[in-house]
Amino acid sequence: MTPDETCIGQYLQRQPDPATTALSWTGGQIDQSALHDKVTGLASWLSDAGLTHGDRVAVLLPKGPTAAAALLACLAAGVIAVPCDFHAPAARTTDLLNDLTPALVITTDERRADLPRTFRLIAVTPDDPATLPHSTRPLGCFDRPVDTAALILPTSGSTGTPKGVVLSYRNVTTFLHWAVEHFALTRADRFLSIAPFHFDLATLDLLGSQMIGASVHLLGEVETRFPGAIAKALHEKRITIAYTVPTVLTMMTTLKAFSGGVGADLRWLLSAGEVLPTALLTSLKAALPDTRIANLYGPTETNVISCHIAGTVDPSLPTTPIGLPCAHSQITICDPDGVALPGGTEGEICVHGPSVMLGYWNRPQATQDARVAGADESYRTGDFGRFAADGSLTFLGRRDQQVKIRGHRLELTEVEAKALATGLVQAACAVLIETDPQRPKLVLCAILRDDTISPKAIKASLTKHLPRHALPDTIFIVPSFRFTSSGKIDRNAIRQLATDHLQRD
Amino acid sequence: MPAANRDYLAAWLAAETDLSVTELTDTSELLASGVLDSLKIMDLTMAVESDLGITIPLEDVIGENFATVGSIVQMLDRLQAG
Repeated sequence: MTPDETCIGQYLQRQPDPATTALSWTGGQIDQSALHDKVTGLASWLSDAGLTHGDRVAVLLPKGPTAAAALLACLAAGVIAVPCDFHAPAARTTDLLNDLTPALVITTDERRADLPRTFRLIAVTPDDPATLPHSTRPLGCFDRPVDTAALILPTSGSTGTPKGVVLSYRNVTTFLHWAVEHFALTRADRFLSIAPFHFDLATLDLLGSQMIGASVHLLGEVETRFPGAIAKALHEKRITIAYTVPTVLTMMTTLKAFSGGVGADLRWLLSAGEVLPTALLTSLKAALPDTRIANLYGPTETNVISCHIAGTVDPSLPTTPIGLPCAHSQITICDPDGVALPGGTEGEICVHGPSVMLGYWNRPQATQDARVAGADESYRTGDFGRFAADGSLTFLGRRDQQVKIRGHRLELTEVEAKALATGLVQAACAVLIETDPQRPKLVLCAILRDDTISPKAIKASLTKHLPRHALPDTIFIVPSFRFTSSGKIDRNAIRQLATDHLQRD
Repeated sequence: MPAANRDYLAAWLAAETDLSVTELTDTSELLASGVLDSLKIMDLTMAVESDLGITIPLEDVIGENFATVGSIVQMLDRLQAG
């Protein structure tokens, strides 16, 4: 891969068309020429400001055209773009920034006040890319080595601080090239961007669409909570490509959002991020008879590594298969020592290939632990799986305490670490109760430091440190925990306790 | 009756979210604060249909109608009257 072939190389080389919409959002749009000017203008400004290869730029903005232009400009300037969760609590954002030590933070006026003054901050308007600073000096051709860092995506970290996944130009572009070929994406496609920019799904929505000169409609964070708003965008923007998580799809089918011709132009509906239940796939196929549906699999660290294109649904399976390995992924099923197991055996899904991350930001030990026998471009997913006789992969669960809740990836130990840090509890154990698979409940079982403390006080304190999806639905106070023979908290016993507690409620 | 819809909503919010009935006012903000996430919005839409017999059409399941306690009650009253 040459620098010209990377997603941003391709973007910068294309002659932008002033008659074609690049981005749209509720209340506005920007054409390719105008966006190109903003992107190259900010990229030149970043270079003029002395930012260079390896520097981090944190983009702490509500999702919208300004954030989109800023992220593209970082890639064009060859600095590392870090899309941050604008809605995360201030303390969490501060922890993340202290870990990243960005050379620049692009944010809003309202957020600037509660950020550490140690960083260089600029304030812009979320739905007006013209408020981004720019330089008129022409931007040279893109010549960064393709194996340098392009993007850091923050994910849940087991110790309580977000863990940044560092992706190179090659990592991101490998996935995008695969997607363009696999789904025959063209500049005539119209993408719907549902996921926030700090999710890996956004690499396809934003970087993929702009790489090939297609348009993308950006849905804001509040809009994505409303099936009516998603349906309206699908219909009015005649969306052809939509990529989202099963939680959103469940909401859409439950409220019959694909009725009345909504989704009529949809060529591909892509699902990722969580297990796709067979019942949901069946409803989707009935609601969207002319749309092809694919189930994509892969953690943020590797992006998509396998894909199942839904044909005839097998009702005997509870969940949709995760399909065949992508051309760029070599997948092996390994034992706990990383030794490959024979076909048909259950084990850990391990990956080698050019989409595998450079590593975790600032965490050499975690990076090393995630590799298969120290090999670069390898990743132990922590997911269990098995190859079927036809070569397709089945997902069978996790080896650790990582869970998926409402489309987000969460380390249960992160919730426990934050609960202990409140100083209100002596011990804490978080469990996910999936009695109703469509409504998983996050339950925190805690032993209080003293009797005067209420669960409400714990929740109030957690609200300041955890993103909303990571907040326990219920806090259940217990007098003591049971331990396993090896001295660990007995999670199975606690899961049972929490299940009983929820049923009593 | 308008008051009935408001009482129903207040009771539902108290049971399903962190808000308490005493804290609620018509201007209580539900979206920016994150009180209503996507699943809660879906739950509320379905609860209103089964408990009050009010079907909220898809074009009304949008942010403007769910932003505050007042805007939800206004929507319910309008749908019930219509």
